[in-house]
Amino acid sequence: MYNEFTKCHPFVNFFCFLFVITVTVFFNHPIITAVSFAGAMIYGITLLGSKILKYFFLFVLPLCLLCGIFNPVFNHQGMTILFYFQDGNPLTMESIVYGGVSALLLASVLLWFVSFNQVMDSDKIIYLFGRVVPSLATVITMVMRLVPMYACHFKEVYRLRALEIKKLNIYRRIRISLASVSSTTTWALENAVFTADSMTARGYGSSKRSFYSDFVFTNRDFILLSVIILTAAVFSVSAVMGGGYAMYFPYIKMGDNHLLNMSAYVSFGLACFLPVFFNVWEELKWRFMK
Amino acid sequence: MAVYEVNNLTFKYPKGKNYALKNISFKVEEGETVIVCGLSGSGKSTLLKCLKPALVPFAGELSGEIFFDGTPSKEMSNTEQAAKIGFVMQRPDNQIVTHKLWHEMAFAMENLGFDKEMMRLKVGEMCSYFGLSHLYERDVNTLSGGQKQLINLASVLAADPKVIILDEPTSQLDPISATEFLNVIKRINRELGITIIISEHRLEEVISFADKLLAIDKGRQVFFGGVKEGIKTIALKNQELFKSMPVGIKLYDRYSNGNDYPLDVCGSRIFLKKYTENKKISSVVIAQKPDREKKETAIKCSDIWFKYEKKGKDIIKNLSLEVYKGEIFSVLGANGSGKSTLLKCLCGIEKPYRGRIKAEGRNAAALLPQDPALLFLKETVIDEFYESINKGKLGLSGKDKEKIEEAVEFFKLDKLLSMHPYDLSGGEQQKVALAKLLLKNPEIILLDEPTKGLDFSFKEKLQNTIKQLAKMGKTIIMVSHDIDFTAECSDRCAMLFNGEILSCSKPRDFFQKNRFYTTNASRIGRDIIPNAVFTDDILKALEGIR
Amino acid sequence: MNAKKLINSKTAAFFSVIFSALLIGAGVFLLKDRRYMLISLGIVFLSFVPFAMIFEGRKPRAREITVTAVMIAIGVVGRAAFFMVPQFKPMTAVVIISGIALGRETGFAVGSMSAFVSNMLAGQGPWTPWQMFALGLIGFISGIIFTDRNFQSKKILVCIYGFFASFVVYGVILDTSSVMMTVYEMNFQTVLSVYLLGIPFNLIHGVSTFLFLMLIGNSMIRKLSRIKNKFGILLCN
Repeated sequence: MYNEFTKCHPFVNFFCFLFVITVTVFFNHPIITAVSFAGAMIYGITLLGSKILKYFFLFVLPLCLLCGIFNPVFNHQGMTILFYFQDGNPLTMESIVYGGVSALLLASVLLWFVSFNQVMDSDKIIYLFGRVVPSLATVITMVMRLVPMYACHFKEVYRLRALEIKKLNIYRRIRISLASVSSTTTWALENAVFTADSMTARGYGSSKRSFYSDFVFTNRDFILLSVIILTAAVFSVSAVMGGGYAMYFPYIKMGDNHLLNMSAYVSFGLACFLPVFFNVWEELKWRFMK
Repeated sequence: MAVYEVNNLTFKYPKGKNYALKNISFKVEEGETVIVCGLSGSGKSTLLKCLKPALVPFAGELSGEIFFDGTPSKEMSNTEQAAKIGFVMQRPDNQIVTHKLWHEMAFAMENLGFDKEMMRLKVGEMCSYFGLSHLYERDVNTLSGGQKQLINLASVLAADPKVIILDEPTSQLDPISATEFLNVIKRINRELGITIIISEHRLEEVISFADKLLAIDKGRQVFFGGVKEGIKTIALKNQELFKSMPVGIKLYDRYSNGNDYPLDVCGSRIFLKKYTENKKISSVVIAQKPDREKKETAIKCSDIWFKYEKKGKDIIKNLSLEVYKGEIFSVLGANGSGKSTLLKCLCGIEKPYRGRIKAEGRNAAALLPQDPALLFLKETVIDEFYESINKGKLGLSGKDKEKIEEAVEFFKLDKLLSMHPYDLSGGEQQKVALAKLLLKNPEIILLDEPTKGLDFSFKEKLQNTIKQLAKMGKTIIMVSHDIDFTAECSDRCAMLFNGEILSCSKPRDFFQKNRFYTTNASRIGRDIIPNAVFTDDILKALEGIR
Repeated sequence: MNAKKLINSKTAAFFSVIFSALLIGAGVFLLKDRRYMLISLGIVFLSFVPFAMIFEGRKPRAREITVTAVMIAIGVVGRAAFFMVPQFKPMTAVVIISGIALGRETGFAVGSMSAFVSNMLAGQGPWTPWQMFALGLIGFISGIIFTDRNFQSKKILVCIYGFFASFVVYGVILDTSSVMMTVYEMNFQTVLSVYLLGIPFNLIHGVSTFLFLMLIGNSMIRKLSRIKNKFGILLCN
């Protein structure tokens, strides 16, 4: 599918994920969690296709099952007792429900991060860092370059060493790896002297740094960012006033102000599905233009 | 006003006994190209670093005056000197800081605080001027050495410098990329009027467009002035340095007294033609070396195929090769022809997926990689040797010690034993690495680009070493771009193209057939002196008509 | 100069504690079931602020930046270097060595950024801030306890510290974070059971750190001192 959201300004991407993931982590409410899960799953599918399902079934689902079991086993609060364990502790309905919602929450967070990693590439992260912590941003971009370079060097050293050893058991492999890491470190540090020289030669640290980037904050970025901020504001207000409130122990109780609940659900849902909506909108626009 | 005016520059390293530079004085006018020549360790790099205040080696003693554009260089602010004096170093990889091409191009400008609009314009301009637009969003790691060096230059140029100082910028590049890079240098000098100060040991290419020549030897100034007078002075005063001059210049110096030196192949051909006009030239007498009667096979590949990935392209296709014991065998070929991969297959790092490689005994072949540093694990040279013999176990037998002493003597390393391998020069590093390999007593030695980054005198020494090793019965297989070097020292040469060996014969036959991919002597002597391949051939032929 | 000196690690630590206390207060009174999460995440983020301020505030020179970047990259590559043994990660060891040789603040930077960048390559997740915090803390502490001069004599202590740092500090922080993500109320029982589940992994991690420090810790420290000499500056603070 057409992924126009990825091409938006990093601010838009970042604040969208920030809002959605923060709410998902902190609001343990069945409907909010379910909305978040649906948003994460659908956006994940549009980004990665069937790969996300593989990730979900192989990695996310086992973790969530563990979490779902873990809760009722260790948490004995709640009024509705279903039966007693052998050690005398009760199994309660509340803890089962809480476990289920937590499992769903965990799944949504993990899935949101999959999309996050896909959308926020190194350029965007360095751009965002560069505003706040310029030196660390430089460190990150340097490391991004050094890692593949060192990995390549390490591999060559390792293979040259491994040639000389006849039987490679795990102990010998670790020995050779350690020696190769050590050798790579020497090489890396000695070369760093030149890199530092090249940075100084090009004026690093001589005056206040500015930032080059290709990201331009366009009108549509402005609109999207406004939507995100608006939804975040509406959600915050309704949450502070009691919307999207859920309590599990000692008994399950949810916020009962219908209007506040609805405004929380809708504003959060809008943010969750914003990337998907935007992609669909762009796709339609493209089709009608042709 | 002169861009640079240097008076009595003297420099000493904090721990050094001798002066690294002594009484260097010269003057560079705007728009000139100055070539700095000298052997390895003559102080070229130190001199160039002294010209840029930010790079003056730490804690060294510097005296004398350096004026940049009329102001003493010490008084320049960091920002000013970063913008006005560009500096490009030897190794393309070490100078790159960021991980994307666009970021690297903008790096210098970011440091100087240019505003965003200005930077975007400049980066666009640079990419278009250097033809790098198609690489704009690429990861730096995916680029070739030549492209990386071009980015380094572009990044420096973006800050709009007055002078660019280049310290052997092409020593790590293959000949084609090197020529391309030097053409860019020539272009920015001619088209933009930027002053160039360059040190280079590939003199053939630079000397033809340089305006001035600065020769230094052991830290002393030998000559500064016009290129042709410079060559004359070097020819008279410093034979060792003169050896590294191009063939054409050497010929001219021998057979003419003037100082109108031919600076390129074309000029040399005109001179040679004039000189041999109306004279009868005896064709080159080829002293046929008797073929070794008993040819023992050292390593034999039959129909090997290799690719890195299952669905990848075949890097080596149906290659068969037989190398005999005690032979020096060279494989020539362009970048990406599969040369290095072939060596990896021969030493066993990679396994061909079809075909067989048969070598005598296990661990028969040892590989000296392009970067000898890959073999270094310890902190002193002598520890490297110990490590090589006992692979980390403790204790050395008397026999082992003898072996090490032998190797040390063979390579004349006695002064380097207690040094850190990384404190050695490129040529010394290579000697140590080669000695380390030999301690393992391999039958076959594989050399990957052994002349990369070496100057003429080291190349000569390496050639002698290789020949000696071959006499001792070792088999040597090397891959190289360096045509002159391989022509001089190999017994057989092969041309690798697209994973296949196209031709394989003795150097004389091999290079005679080639028109483009051949030695400089052959290029100069073609059609004038029949069958000339080596410099000696031309000299002999001319000797005959004197 | 004075203004710069003010932002040293002590003031930073002080402010961290103050802010954390405020946060704990806020968490206890405002949120019910997710308060541990909020408080701990808040502490984690707040602990980054002073360190980032120190790092930026002292305007690191090209040399410090490169050495920091090199050590981070080595740590990240190390993760891939021992692919044959799962969970065998020398990253913690590299962080400890950086903390010892380059000082506590650089140690924190190397630790937290190693975690961040390795997650940038492997995929960020809810675990990122905790990993950053745990590794940063380990680097910081090793910079306080040891110096590169007495490394040789205290080698075995450093190794034991390395083992405990990865087995206990890193393990507890990461496992507690996963408990907080999923459980209504933290108690000793839940944390302990999750930690018991994670013992095999943490053990390999601890052993790998121990082995790395034992076998090549010394030479790594020497390499770094050599570079410090070559750069002609004391990177240590």
